Amino acid sequence: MRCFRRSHLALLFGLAPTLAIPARGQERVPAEAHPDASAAAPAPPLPSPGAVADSSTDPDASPLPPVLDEGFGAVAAIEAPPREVTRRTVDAELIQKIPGTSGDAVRSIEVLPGVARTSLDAGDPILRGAAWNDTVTYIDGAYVPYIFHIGGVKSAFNSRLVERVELYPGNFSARYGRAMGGIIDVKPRAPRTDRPHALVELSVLDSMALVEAPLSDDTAVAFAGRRSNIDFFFEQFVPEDAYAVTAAPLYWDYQGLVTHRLGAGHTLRVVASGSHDSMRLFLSNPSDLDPALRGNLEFASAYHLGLVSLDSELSPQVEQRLQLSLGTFNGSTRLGPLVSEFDFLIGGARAEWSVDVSRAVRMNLGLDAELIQIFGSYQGPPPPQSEGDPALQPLSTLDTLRVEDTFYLARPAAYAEAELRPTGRVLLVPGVRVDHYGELAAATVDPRLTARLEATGATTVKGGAGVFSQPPIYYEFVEGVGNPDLEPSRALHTSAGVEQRLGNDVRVGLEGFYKRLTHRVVATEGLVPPRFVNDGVGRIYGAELSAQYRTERTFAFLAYTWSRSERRDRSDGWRLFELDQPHILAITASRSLGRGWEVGGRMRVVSGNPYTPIAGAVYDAGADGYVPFSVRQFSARNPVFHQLDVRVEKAWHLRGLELAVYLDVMNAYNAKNQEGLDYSFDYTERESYSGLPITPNLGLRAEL
Amino acid sequence: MSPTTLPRRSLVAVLALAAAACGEPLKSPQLLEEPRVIGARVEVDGEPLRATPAPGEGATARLLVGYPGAPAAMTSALVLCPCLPTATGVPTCAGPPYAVLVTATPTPAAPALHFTLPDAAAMVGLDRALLLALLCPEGVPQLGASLIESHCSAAGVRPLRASLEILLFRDGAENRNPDLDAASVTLDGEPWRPAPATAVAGATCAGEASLPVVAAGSGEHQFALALASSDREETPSENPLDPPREAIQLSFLTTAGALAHPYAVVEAAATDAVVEIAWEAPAEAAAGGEIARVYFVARDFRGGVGWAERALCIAP
Repeated sequence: MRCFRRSHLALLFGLAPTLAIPARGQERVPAEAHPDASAAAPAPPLPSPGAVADSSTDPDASPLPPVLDEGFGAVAAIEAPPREVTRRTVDAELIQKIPGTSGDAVRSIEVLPGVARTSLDAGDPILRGAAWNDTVTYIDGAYVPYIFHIGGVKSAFNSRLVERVELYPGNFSARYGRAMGGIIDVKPRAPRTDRPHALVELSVLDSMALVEAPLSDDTAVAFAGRRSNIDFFFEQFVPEDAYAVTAAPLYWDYQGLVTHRLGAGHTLRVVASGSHDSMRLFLSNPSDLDPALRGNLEFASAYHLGLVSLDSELSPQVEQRLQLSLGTFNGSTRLGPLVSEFDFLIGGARAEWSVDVSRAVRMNLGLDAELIQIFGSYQGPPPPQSEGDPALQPLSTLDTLRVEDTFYLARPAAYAEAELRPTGRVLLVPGVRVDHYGELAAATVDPRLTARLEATGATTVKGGAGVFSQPPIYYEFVEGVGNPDLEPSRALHTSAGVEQRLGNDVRVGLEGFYKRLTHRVVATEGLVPPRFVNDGVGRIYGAELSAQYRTERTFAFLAYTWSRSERRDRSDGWRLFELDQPHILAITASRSLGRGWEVGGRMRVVSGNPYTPIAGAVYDAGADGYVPFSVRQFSARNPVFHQLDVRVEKAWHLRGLELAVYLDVMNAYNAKNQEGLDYSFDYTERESYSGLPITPNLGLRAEL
Repeated sequence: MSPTTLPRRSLVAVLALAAAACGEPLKSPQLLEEPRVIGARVEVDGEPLRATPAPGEGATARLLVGYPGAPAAMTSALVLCPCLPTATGVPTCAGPPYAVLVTATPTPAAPALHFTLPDAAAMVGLDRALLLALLCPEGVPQLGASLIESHCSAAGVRPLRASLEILLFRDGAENRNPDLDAASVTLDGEPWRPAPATAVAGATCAGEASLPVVAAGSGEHQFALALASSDREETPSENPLDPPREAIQLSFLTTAGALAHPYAVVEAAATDAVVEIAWEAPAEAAAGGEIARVYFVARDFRGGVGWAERALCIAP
């Protein structure tokens, strides 16, 4: 049987033993069956812990060697080739060490190639030139409506409970759908089972506490809670008479994990997660720049998610995973004339069966369903095109819609994949996914193919192609706001690359990709009804270079991406994607100096984001505002972005208690990176504004 | 798909705008430092307070241009045309213009265009007309296919471009211009009469004895404007979410001194229609005093516009 997941490798190689829960696809072999491990087939070198894995294939993993049960529940596992062309992971140990990310799991993916730099709360991560809404984020396979707290510095799932973050920048398996960009899957870890543990962490940004413990030989639990600290000092930075802070920016989140072994070959896992963000300001007088901005300016969002998973070995040849999720999401905004309130009830169900038909053939069959109820109340300007709208026009000059409605989304899907090994060194994964979108009365069929060739023991050549479909954003097809006759958008992904291992410590990868987007949802000219149509196309191409060096005390990554991402809206000419970044270079390194000292740095040099230069403005006498116009969308570019982040930590180990102090400094040399331009009310004057200045985050951590 | 992205992006805009409000603005919208169009309105023939002409009716479209000093002589072009429906961006004509007036000889007079709308048969399906204006401090207007493509003939001259969507009177639904002539305006609690045309901004106070006087460096003063109750019309609508009454947005502009803020809004639900705004006198004034003009412009968000002008003398 083959292993399809990295099964607690980080825990195996550095932390306490864990529950002996084999990953799916691994065969458990009692130690007595291999009395002399050296007499067994030689095990290939295992990846080091805390590694950034780049979907490398272990050349000796064919056929998949068995899992060796080494007692005490510790499990050695070999990762099988992935079902995707490219899967990149950042795991638990590494997450905490990447400078400039404050130990955030999802932010840590910025060290990987193909991930664009995003500025303050610009949205979900941008993968291989795909728009923010083309990438879907999951927690262990369950959809979450958003992953970042206000400001985009911290993700809403506590990183101390994350085993790894899996990133699929494109060409992903048929088990994922409803996205034509990429997939980010945050994998919670299992609670530790050796003994009770507690952790308290205090920093400038937030404070958190975590407890975990075994309840029995078969059950372990973990709970965590976190709250931001920004509100304690936010008002110190508000200039007098600018506005009143009714409620300073605040976030909190909580997680609960339970792992229970029901019996031989059956493991139940329960994940509960919730998050809240809010802020309220009061402008006693309308803003000088936009009279529509006045009074209460409020934002609040929250979600609560429950997820139950059951992993089972039904037989030596058949594995099963069942998963149910249920969550609520509430979001409200008041922003001058824009008043919106949305309540979501999101139900999800997944089932996957993996069947070893023969030694060379494995079938994966799955079902994936979403059922969503949305109640929405909206008053405000017509929502703009999700990507490519420069958003330059004051709210006061826009028309106002008023809509209230309840609607349902039913999205069942089924998929099938075959893992074919015609030879020991070739893996072919043809698959197909069928999605139905009840709200659109439409179905899509997405064929996909992945191929891998282990050319030598250290070299893997890979490639793939596939079709990926995606429904419109809910407001794009709601009657009264959007166009109920929209169709799903589609993308064709192609990619090819090579992975090379140089000794035990160095891995290098090179991959090229091309994507073609069709049926993109774009706004009509002037946003007149039906407001949105499927007339947009896009093309994205590029190459990614990654290099990783890893020893026991040092890790270093280099990620360079060259790409071009373009769109064409309606019958217009080609334009740049609003976050097109032709060059993205990130160099990250960290080293343990001994005696509890750890230092690290991350240097990024990235092309500036495009912007739309203003050619002039027309005075709207009915609204007393100026409507800008431009010659060509996104035809100018901000200067090159460059930033150094550094991290220093000192830890003490005192009889079962670990104490640590760390300082994580974003933008260590206070670079003034232009993020955009501010304009005067009539667009005749402008000045640049910069991103975050030097931002230190000092923290203290105590762990039992 | 992220249901939060639209509001979260809006939140970023809020923080950015709030931050902009914190620091020094690039230019202050309430201070007239150069000629600007600061208002436009339509007055139906015989009913100057009605802003919604019906097909076949005549009306006059007037611009209000503010100057930091004496009105400057400019050339202009005014175009009235059917309005192409749009929710965003610069409005454009949906067809040939109904009326065009090009004033090629520079004049300080406020631009105005008298027009007669086509009859109903020629305006089927149209609910609004569009006024486009191009003013040239130098040279003459060169009209293009759109207002964006229209320029002044003098090289390097930045034209003043303005637009006004004009709702048409249909099915008994009309809209009136706010009547600031009937509004009560006070300066520090004292009645403040309309400014005579002879009281030119920046000129000395000699010969303008009727103007109220404030001393340079005298600190903060209070302007107050009380709208007539009829200015906020009822707005019956089939959509229960629509407000039942108009809100009025007031804009304040001055040629000297500093207004506390450029805008105020009398919300639809407000019971009190008195708006007060603080104005700080300049620290100095020329010998002989200096005249400052103050503009109050009211908008009802449905194309109805009204304005009032006042003047005062800043004594040294």
